Amino acid sequence: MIKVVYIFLLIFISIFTQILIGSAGLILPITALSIFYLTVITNWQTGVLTASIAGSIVDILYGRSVFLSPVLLVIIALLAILWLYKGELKYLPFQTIPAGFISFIYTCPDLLVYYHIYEHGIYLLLGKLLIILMSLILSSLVFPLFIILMDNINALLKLNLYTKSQKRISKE
Amino acid sequence: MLRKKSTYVIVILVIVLLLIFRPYRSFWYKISADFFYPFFFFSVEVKDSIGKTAYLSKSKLELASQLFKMQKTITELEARCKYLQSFKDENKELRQLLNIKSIPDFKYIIAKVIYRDPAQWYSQFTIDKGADSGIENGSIVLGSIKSYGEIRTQFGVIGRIGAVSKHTAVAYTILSNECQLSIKIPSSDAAGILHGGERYGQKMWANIFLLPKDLEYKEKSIVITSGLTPLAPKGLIIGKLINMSNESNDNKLFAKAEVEPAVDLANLDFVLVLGKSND
Repeated sequence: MIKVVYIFLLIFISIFTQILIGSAGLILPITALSIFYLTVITNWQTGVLTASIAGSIVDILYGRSVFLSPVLLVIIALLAILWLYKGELKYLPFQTIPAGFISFIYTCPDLLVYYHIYEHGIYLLLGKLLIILMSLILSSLVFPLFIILMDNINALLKLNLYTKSQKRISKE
Repeated sequence: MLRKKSTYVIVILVIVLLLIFRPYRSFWYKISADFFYPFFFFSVEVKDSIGKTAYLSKSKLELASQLFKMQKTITELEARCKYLQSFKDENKELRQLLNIKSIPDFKYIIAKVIYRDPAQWYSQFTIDKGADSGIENGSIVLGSIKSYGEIRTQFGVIGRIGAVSKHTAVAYTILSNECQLSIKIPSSDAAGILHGGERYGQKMWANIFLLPKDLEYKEKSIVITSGLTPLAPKGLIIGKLINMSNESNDNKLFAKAEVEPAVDLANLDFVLVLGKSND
């Protein structure tokens, strides 16, 4: 039960914060970072299920006509599994690498599809690339801090820790 | 194990299909938007109260003079409203005498923009008023413009409402493909359909289709609503004509045009929504 409430609150706060920051014109994919974190500490099934629901809610709240977020978040959940088995979870500075990938996967398609349909010219393309770059930098900075915060909360709740997930997997 | 995994996949697929399938979207929008509404409302209130502290830096004399100016403007507007009301009543009476269908009345709902999609900044935004305030799908959204040519007006069309929950609504601007509007160009006496728009550098425009090709169009002509839609009154300014496409396409009957929006779509804090009046 604690796990369900934990997932619900994590996703709710992530979506809320992402939309709030988005209103300032910045894309900080906190929902995508949360999905990545959640998949690592739980399993791919929970990750994919949460990703599809969270992605749909983001697109529904924005009133988007093309639902790209669920697909992108599912890809991010699968990327988390890849990072869990092939990556390095122990050292926090290394986590900027998946954070950059997450940000790129999440922001690029949305912005570029929109650019391709409605916008023209190098000026707007550069603007889009700037938003992607900003998102990449922000995500890389935020993700290690996010892991520290969530791991502390998880330790209190006696849930799995991100930094010790590879140890857990090898034991299983 | 395999059975468990396939159950998971089926559950995920069913949930996603239910969420994204178009007819169900408005239902899910109502649920999720109303769930998130108190939190967004609270954040907007906090932002507003921080903004209000700017007034504290002004002197009492300055504030008093501003208050006096506002009171004067309100009195003037009230007088103008009463004067126009007499015309409205007279018009209604005459229409009844001549058995002409009466013009639908509208109420003006002021709404705050609570959040915007950073990926589709110019196409859509969400406001803090919904079905409870009388907003419905297709309602017209207006924004303030300073002056427009010779016609003195304060409001121009931003777009239309596309999804409504109890407390919030998603507005699609005239640049969005989700917004369609019947328009009129009074200088050419032409009517057409506004649908979707594009951006190039600093410029942005909405596309007008189905304009009669045999008419003459002048650049910078004012484009207004035609009033054919029951939710949109006639004569609301949309923008001015900036380009007519004269390409030699196969279509011999209709022309396409581009209209520059009258309202600055980049910066929107407050909007007006036209709701059907109960009177």
